[in-house]
Amino acid sequence: MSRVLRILASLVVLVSVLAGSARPFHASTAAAAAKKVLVMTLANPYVDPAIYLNDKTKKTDPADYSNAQLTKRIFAMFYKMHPDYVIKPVNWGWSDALRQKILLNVAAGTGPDVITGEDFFPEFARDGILVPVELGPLQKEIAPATLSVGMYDGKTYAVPAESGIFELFYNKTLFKQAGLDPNKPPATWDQWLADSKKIAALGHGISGTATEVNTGLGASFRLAPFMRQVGGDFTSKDGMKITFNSPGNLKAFTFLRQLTATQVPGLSSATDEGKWFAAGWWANKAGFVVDGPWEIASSQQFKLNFGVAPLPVAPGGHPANVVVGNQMFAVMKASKNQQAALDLVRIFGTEAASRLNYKYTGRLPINLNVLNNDVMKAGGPISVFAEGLKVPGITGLPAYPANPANIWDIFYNLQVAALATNQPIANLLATAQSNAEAQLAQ
Amino acid sequence: MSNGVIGQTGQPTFPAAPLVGQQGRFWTRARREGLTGWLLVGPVMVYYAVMGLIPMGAVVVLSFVRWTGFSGSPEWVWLHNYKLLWDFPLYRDVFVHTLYIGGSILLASLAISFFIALLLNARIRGRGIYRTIWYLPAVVSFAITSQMWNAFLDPTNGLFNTILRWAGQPAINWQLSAFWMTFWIIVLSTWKGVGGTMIIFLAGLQGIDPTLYEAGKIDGANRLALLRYVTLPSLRPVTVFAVISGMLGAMQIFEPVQLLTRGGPFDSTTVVVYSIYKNAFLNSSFGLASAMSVVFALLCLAFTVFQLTVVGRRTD
Repeated sequence: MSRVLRILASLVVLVSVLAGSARPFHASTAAAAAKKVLVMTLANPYVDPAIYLNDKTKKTDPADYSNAQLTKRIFAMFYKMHPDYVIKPVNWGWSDALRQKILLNVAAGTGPDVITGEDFFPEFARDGILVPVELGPLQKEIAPATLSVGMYDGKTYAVPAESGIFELFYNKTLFKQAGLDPNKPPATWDQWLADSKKIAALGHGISGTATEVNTGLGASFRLAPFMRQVGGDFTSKDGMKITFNSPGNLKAFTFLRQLTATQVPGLSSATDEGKWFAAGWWANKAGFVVDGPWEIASSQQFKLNFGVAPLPVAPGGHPANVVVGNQMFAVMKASKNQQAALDLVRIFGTEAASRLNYKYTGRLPINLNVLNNDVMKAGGPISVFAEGLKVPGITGLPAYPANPANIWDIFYNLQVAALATNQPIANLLATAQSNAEAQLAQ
Repeated sequence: MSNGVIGQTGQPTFPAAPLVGQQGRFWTRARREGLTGWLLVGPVMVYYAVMGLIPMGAVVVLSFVRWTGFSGSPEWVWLHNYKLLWDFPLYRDVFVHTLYIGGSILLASLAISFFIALLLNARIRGRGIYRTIWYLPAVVSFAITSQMWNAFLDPTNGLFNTILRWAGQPAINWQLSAFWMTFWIIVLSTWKGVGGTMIIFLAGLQGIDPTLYEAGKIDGANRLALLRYVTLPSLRPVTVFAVISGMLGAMQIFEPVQLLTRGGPFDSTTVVVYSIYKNAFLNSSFGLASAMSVVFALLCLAFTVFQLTVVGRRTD
C-alpha cells in the first residue's frame, strides 16, 4: 500500500513540475510562425475577417459579412506597409467589460498592442498606459470633434475610425396622424414639446418623444446636447470641476422632464437600448427619438417612414451636441511592436480607410474629405449628421479625474430622479453636486 | 523452559525485534511515510499559499496604499482608505445593503429549502423528478437566470407587467423602484440558492435514525411534536453548516447585482462585493477596494465565529 502511495505522490509531483514548466503549444502555420504578431482588440463594425469570410455554412449575417470585408481591407492596407506582420484580432466586448479586461491585462503585463474603445482614452493617457500618436498632416484631415475624445493634455492618444452625434429622428406617419406637417420638424424646444404632446394624444401606447430615462450612460449621453445648448455641462472646460448644479442644467432638466411626460411611463427604464427602441420607435409608437447615425440603417430596416432633423434649440440657446459612437484606436505603452501599431492606428484616420468605413457601414466617417465630399454630396439623413458635426465646440462626455464610476452613478441617480419623479430639480442638482464634489476630493 | 520473561497473561514476552535493515539507515519507515504525506499534501499547500495566502496578505498591504492597480507606484496612506469607508455614507451604506439583502436571502432560502426538503423526504411517487426540478436553478448560471429575469421585468413587454395588465392593474416601473429591484434581487438569489441548501437538509433528514421517530410515536408524539423534538434537534449540525455556508454565499452576492441592476436604482442594491469590483476596476482605486475587502472578510469571520460558538455549542 505504501509503495502505491509513494508512486502516486511521485506522479503528483512530477505532473505539477511538468505543468508548471510547460509552455502553451500553439498550432500555427509555418508562414504565420515566421511573422511578428500584432494583437488588437476589435469591436463592431470591425470584426475578425477569418471568422466571417470563411464561414462555409453560409449562415453569416450580411452585416457581419460586410463588416468583415471592411476589416479585411483595412488590414490589407496595413500589410502593405508591414508585410512582416500578422494581425491577431481579439474581441473583448465593449464599454465596462472591455475597459476591465484591458486594465487586467495591463496589470498582468499581457496587454494587446492596439486597443479600441470610446470613452476611456483620456483617462488611460493620464494613467500613462498609452503612447501619443503623431498624426502629422493627417491631424488636419480628421474632424476636430471626433479627435477631441482621444486627446489628453494637448496630445492625441487615440485615432477615430467612425463617429457620431445626436440628431432628432421623427416619425412621418405619426406626424400625419397627429395633423402635423411631416416636412416641418420642430426647430425649437417649445415646438418640439407641443408636437410631442399632440402625438402622445393619439393614445394606443404611442409616446410623443421616446426619452431615455434609466440608470445608464446612454441616457446621460442623450442629455448632454440639451444641457450644453443652454450653457450647462457635466464639468468645467478643463474637466477638473463638477458643474452639475448650474442654471443651464436646471433649465435643460426642467424642459426634459416635461418632454418625458409625453412618453408611455416606464418605456425606457431598462438600460437595454434595443428593448425600448423595439417597444417604441421601431414599433411606430414614438413620434420622436434622439439618436446617432447608426439609427438610419435600423429605421430603414424596420421600414419606418422617418425624417432626420437637427436637434431643436432652446430659446436663447445655441446648437450643441456630444460626440457619441466614436470608435477609436490607440497604442499601448507596453506594446513591443509600437511602430507597427502606430502605423495601424493612423490608417484608420486616412481618407481611404474612412471612405471604406462609410461605404461598408453607412455610418458617419471621420475624415473631413469624406465628410465634405462623399457624405454631403450624397445628401439624405446622414448629411444632417455631417452638417451637425461642424458645430464648433462639440466634445465627448467628460473623463472625471477621480472615482469616475461613482460620479457617473451620482449623475445616473440625478437623471432618473429629475426626469421620472416630481422632486424639485434644483434640490436634486444641489445634492448631486455636493456628492460628486466629495467623490472628486477623495 | 523458555528464556523469555513470563508476563501477566502467562505468555512469555520478548523484546521487539528491530525491523529488517532499520538500524543505521536514514530512510526509516516513519520518515518514508512522513515524506509520502508531505509529497501528497505539498502541491495543495503550495497552491493554497500561492493562490490564497499570498493574495490575502497582498490585499491587507494594498489596503494601506493609494494605487490605481495598473500604473504608477502605490503611495502609502496608512489608514486613509479605512477612514474613507467610515466617513462616506456611500460606502457605509453598502455594508447595510449587504446585511439586509444577504440576510433576507439567507433567511428565505433556509426556510424554503427546509420546507421543501421535508416534503421531498416523504415517500411520494416521482420524488426524484421533484428533487431535480428544485435543484435545477442551482446548476444554471446566474448569467442565464439574470437574463431571464431581465426579460420578466421588461417594463413594456415583460411577463410581470403583462400579468398585471391582464389582471387590470397598472404596470410597474420596476427598474426605477429601489424597493422592487431589491425585492427581485432577493427573490432571484433565493430561488437560485434553494436547491443547494435543500440537498443539505435532505441529506440531514435521511441521516436521522428512524428509531427516534418510532420511539416518539410510542410516547404519543404527533407530527408537529416529532418535528420539534426529533427532526429539528437532529438537524442542528446540518443547520449550522447550512447557515454558515449560506451566510457566506448570501453576503458575497454579486452576479445578480451586476447583471440586473448594476447597484441601482439610487444605489439601493449596491452590495459590498459589487462595490469592491466597482472601486477596483471602474474607479481604479485598488487601495479602497482592498480596505473594503479586509473589513468585509473580518465581518464574515466574526459572523462565522459567532455562529460556530453560539449555535455550534448547542449542537455539542
